[in-house]
Amino acid sequence: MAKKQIEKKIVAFCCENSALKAAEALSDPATLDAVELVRLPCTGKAETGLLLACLERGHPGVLVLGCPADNCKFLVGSTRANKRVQSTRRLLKEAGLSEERVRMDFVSSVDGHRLARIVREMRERLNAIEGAKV
Amino acid sequence: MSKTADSIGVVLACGGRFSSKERESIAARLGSALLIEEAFGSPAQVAALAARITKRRFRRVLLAGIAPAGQAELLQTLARQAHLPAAAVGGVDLGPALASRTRAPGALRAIQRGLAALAEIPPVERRSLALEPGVLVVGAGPAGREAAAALRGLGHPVTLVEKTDGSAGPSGGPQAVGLQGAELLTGSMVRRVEGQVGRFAVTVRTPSGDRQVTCGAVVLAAGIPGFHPGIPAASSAAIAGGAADTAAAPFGVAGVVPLEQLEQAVAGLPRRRGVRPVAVILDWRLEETKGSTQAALELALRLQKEGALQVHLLCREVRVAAMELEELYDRARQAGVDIIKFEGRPALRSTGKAVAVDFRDAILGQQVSLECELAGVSSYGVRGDADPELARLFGVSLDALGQFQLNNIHLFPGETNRPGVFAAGACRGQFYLPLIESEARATALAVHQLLAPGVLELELAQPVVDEDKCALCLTCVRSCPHGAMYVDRAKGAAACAPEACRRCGICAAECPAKAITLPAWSDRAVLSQVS
Amino acid sequence: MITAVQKPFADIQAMVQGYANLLVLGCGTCVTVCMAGGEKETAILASTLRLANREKGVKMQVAEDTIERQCDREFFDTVRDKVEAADAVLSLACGVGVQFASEVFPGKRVLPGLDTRFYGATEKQGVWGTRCAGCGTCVLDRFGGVCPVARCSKSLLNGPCGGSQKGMCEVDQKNIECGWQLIYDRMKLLGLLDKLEENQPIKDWRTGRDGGPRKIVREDMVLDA
Repeated sequence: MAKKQIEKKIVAFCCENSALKAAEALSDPATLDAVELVRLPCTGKAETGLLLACLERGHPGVLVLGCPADNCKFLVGSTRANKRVQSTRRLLKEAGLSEERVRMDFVSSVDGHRLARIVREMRERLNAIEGAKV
Repeated sequence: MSKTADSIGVVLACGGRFSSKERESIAARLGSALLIEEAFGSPAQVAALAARITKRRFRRVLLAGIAPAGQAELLQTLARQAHLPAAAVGGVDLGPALASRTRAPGALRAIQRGLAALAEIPPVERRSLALEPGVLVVGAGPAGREAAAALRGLGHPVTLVEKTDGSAGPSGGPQAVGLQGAELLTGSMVRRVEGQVGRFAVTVRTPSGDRQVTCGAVVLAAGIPGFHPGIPAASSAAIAGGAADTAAAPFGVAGVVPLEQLEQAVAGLPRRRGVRPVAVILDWRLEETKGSTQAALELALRLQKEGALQVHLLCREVRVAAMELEELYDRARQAGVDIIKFEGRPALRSTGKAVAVDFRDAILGQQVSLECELAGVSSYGVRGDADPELARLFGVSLDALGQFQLNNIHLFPGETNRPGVFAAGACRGQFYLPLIESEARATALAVHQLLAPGVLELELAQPVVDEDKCALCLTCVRSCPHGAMYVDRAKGAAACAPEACRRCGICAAECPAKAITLPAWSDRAVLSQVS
Repeated sequence: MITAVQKPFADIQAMVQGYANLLVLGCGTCVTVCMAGGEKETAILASTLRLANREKGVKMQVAEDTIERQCDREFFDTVRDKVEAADAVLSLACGVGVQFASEVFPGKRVLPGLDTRFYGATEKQGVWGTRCAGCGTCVLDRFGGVCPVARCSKSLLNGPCGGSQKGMCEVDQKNIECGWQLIYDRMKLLGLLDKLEENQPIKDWRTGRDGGPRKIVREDMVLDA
């Protein structure tokens, strides 16, 4: 029996204080099945190299999900992550890839619906890119 | 490394879903490291499991079988109750394995993946750090004195450092009432700060030489230049004169007082015939709240009713979006209070005999100059920058308004970004005297909560710096939001103080030399979560 | 330190075209501090190259490593095998390191991944500013510690030109400070304004770049007899 090609999913780097809790509170399988969740102490730890490593492994896109700026447990973590994600997007564009492959957004721990919407919109954006079907 | 120090326990938290044969096959592969639970989730079950984990002395635990919902919360709770570092407890969902045809073998594979991820995390040592009970309070104004008195009441030795010589104004001199045994150093300034929470070493320059103060925590209550709540009108000009920036704090102009003192100042006016104009000014630089608007309207109404005054109340917006406020506004108008809306920023100047308020009238669209005998400016609308040199010495960030406390809910009420350093009073944006005092007391309680246990239990899970790779670029030292990174001169590399470190990983992510690793969250550990 | 910035990605891609085995080699000193070519940036660039190649269907092996410095021979020892296995090396060191790598591995194609800019200092994290132009005969004593060669756009030695407005230079009024305004303010602070009235003679530029390539020799430190 031929081995089925494992579909690569969107990787979501989640702050364990907010986004991860929101993600785990989700019950809708469509969203859960579309992402691989990565737990971080703070999105401030999500560095460019890790985001690119996921793309190199064949994942179509990477989401970085953290706390709104004045809610960040470590004060500046999500702000630092945002700066990094923006420069990663510019870098991808310069390299001939779509900047939409990497995106940052902000959710609180009770923002399950918003999270589902973010994932859905990410899938739509990625599907619009040639070669990044999810 | 001994086996017990390194042992990982696996909890099969949905044992009831597997047949006894399947459970046996799993147990055969995992041996004594396996704990089996029938079902799992209630607080009592969590507590009981935590007790078993502690008894079996597992240093790391993999919870296999729970559904993703609520997992993060559950893992954190279990870690806390089992006295393990948060990163030492991991979870893996066996739902997919149970739902598929693979069941036990599939569950084993998932468990092994989970174990591999956990194995990336090195075991964590613990250490107890003794906390100095003493507290240093910088600034002997109302906030500093209130905090000092509260801390003394809670049993802490307190050293109060005051820049002025204490002979005029707020400090009231060395025998100031209410300090209850706090040591007061006047004419003194902080020159150098070393150390971290629990044991700060602060060098204070006093008129008789340098003093070393060792303290467990610091309260910054240094106020903002030119702002002095609670001062009699006559001396406000004397204190605020000189370096006072009338744009920031207008109290340097003769005849201008904080609104709280207006009534007192009016009573102190020499008797004269005729109606005398008095100004009440709101929204000086910041927006008023409904509370301060209410207080101002009530004051205006009271003064107007006395009969000998014409009160002009100036504001950018009349904030009366509440029933009582609407009604209060009407009563004030009917009593004769003249309510004026201005645009932009008004200015205050002395005309020798009077105070002139220069402003652009929002209704007329014209520049108007209003001469009054006295002008009371609502302190809520005053803003000024906290001392940036103090901020630099203590490693405290200034927010967008130039104040000591960042606008982040995790810091409320009186914490700063730096563990062990607190802020109170005008320097953190509170200008209303009653609130300055109550918040200073709340801050004192927070300090007490930190220091009272006498020790800080530390998990030595802080970042590790590779001394060979470290280029001493200082990026981590500058980037750490908590001031935990420093240069270890003996090693010629950056290092992390565990008592201040919050394990956010920002330093590791910013390091351009990849010299910093946060042990529980190394690149390998993080990427092992990705397929 | 020496400051540099990464070349635009398109330029790098054009340079490495056609090589089957590429080694991206970072440097752990100056370019680490100015965030252009340290281990982190090296990994990011290598990763980006691999992604870009995959996108375009280009077959290229991209390996990466970082050494302490590329301006001292011995540091290359740890990567000797990797360099020899590569068809080309994309060096993320400053211009010095790129050239030195070429000398240490004669016959190996070494390409520059960075544009070396200036001798500078960290004004604040993320911002580096020019301070020195390497003129070879330092005259900072005469200008209160502000260099007219490096910080005046025209390298004037005897006062500002007419284009100084509100402390900014006419070359770029928004971003470049007038070096002579800085010198004036500093000398005033030091109480040395009268020194500025001394005429500076024509500078001997031979000790700097204009004098051609130079060497520095410390006889007492040379190891051979």
